[in-house]
Amino acid sequence: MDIMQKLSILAEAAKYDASCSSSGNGRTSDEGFIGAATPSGCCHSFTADGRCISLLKVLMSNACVYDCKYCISRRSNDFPRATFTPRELADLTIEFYRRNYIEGLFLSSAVVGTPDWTMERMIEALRILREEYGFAGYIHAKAIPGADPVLTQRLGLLADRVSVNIELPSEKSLLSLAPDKTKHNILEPMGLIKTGILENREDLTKYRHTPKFVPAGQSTQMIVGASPETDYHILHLTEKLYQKYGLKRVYYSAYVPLQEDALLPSLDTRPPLLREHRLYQADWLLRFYGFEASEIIDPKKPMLHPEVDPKCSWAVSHLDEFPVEVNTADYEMLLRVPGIGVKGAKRIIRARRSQRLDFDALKRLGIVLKRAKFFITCCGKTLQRIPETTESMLWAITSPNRMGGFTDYGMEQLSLFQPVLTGEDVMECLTGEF
Amino acid sequence: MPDRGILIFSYDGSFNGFLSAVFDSFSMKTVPADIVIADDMEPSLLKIHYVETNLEHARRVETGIEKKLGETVLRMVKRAFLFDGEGKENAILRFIRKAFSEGKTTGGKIGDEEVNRIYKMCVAVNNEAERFRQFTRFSDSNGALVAVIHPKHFVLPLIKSFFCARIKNEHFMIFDAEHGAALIHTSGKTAIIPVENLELPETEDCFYSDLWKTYYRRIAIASRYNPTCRRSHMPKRFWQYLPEVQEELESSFVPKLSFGTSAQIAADLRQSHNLLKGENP
Ligand code: SF4
Repeated sequence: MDIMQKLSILAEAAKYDASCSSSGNGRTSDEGFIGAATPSGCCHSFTADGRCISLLKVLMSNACVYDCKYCISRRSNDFPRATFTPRELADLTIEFYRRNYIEGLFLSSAVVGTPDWTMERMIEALRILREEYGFAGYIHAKAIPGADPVLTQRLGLLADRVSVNIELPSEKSLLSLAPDKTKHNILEPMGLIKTGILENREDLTKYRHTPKFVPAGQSTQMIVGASPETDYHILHLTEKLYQKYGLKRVYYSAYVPLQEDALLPSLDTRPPLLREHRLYQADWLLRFYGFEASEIIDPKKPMLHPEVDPKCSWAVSHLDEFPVEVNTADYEMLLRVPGIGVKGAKRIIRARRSQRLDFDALKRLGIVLKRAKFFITCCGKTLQRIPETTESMLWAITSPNRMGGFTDYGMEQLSLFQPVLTGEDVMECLTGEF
Repeated sequence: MPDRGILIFSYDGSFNGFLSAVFDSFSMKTVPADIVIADDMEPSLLKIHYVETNLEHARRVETGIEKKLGETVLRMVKRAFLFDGEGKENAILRFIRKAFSEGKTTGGKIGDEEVNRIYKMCVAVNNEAERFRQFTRFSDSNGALVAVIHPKHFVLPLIKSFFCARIKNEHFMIFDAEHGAALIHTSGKTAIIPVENLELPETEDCFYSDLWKTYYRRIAIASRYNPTCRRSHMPKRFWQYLPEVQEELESSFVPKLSFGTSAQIAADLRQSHNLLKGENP
């Protein structure tokens, strides 16, 4: 089989991992002959569905011995199989990188033979890249659950980021849909990497030449919509993962039905893109906006509001905290204003040091007032009469969107709710301004 | 004399030339109605002052800005000068004059109209530079890497360090056909030099670009197809550089994204491989 065929099979098999991943780690080119990873990452292209392409994302192999029901590579599926040699993969990465197609490699694999054998092959590919070719670009590798801890350790010394996928948001779903995997198998390497990172950080302060271990941190991913968990459950799990395992990112992947199975949504179910989008927005609130999961979602209404983003949804039910005066409000409060994002809040803080801000000045700063105007005052003035009840506020801020019916999650909505990309740590990639 | 009639400045288009014009504006105690590049000038009845590029004057203006107004203002001036658009010189001059009368904090007054103009120019330049970090594509021509770009603004100085860090051991060239300049990096040395009408050799670097096209087609998810979102992140004007969308640029091409279920994808993969091998599906 030639490399073109292998690439098409193994890219096809890797794509349903729908997170957009880009680099998130600074590595200088002094560390090698080719490549440098910039901390902000860089999207070199965008797929026809609008996701950022920053890394070459492929599987080492799709010849899996496991049989996870939701997965296209599962053993019992009739699907073409291919396996890269470590050398082929390393060459492909370098050649794409030179031409400025990619920032690095995102390597994952099906379980070929045993978890250990699979990890060894992955490690060999990374070793060729790092040691023989002196590649200092970004590498994200997925650890295979169930592999020897020594191998996870070695992988961590070669990659910038390592992830272990949670796959499904609960143990029960894991048991029914991914019978070969266990919660223990997944959480064990996750804990190992966390400890490894902490120890490494300590060693780095003591010895100058300690090799870096997973310098860009670890992340995980879960599939949304294949199993019955609510957003309430998912967001609390996310919060716990950030706290307990010090994860850099949690990714959500809207389930794309590819196979018929009584335990899975039917083939004509649309991927819950809007839900995925809302979860990412809520995730931003957890990581950058100082929110707690319990503020964002309430067990009595366990799904995120489909019509308004989670920040708006919080604001309309806390009208007593508004309006805020842009000339005096602190950064944390500015961030809670719908329509003012991290960039906007920083710009306001910077600009108001030298002048008082009125609405025209805000516009010049690039603040979109469409929503913000209902929640702020400038020098004590409002731009518009501010609705007093949650219902009338909700009506006011969503009115331009009220043309179509908003009863279910469908594709039609997406032209209105233009989904922000599911980008990783990349401000340009994910605007994060909402 | 400066107060009679409309006066315009003409200069050579270089940064030092512009700084010399700033110097002249202060020493002549006048603000010209416009500052234009000598080559672009149309004959007119206006009074013209021909600015002579004077390195000594330029240096004095530069250190003056740095010392009195601080690094931020100087950085903004330099960045805004890379902007390509009418009236940029005049806008920068006004900004500099404002900064000299209002002091160091001027750079931060992005709510002010004149300062905001410069701020917007800087943002436009930065954004354009970021696009070309993203969408510049090299092809391999006998081991050397070559790229041609047509940026709106003069971004070569801004993308230089990005590419030099990435591929420092390669020989590469990025030719800005719009501004007649090339970034050349060879044997660890880098320079931006003026280049006119560069004849580039035809490259036959299709092995990896074909692999890249295949990869690009394979990773699209049919059920998430969203061309509007893609275009907003990757505007059409950059497509000329990108091998992965060349076929779509030709209007008759309809992206093949019809496959949906696992069985359909498998069939599609098998079929395309049989085609490759020249067998009948
Ligand atoms: S382990 Fe499960 S999810 Fe991973 S490739 Fe194999 S079948 Fe798919």
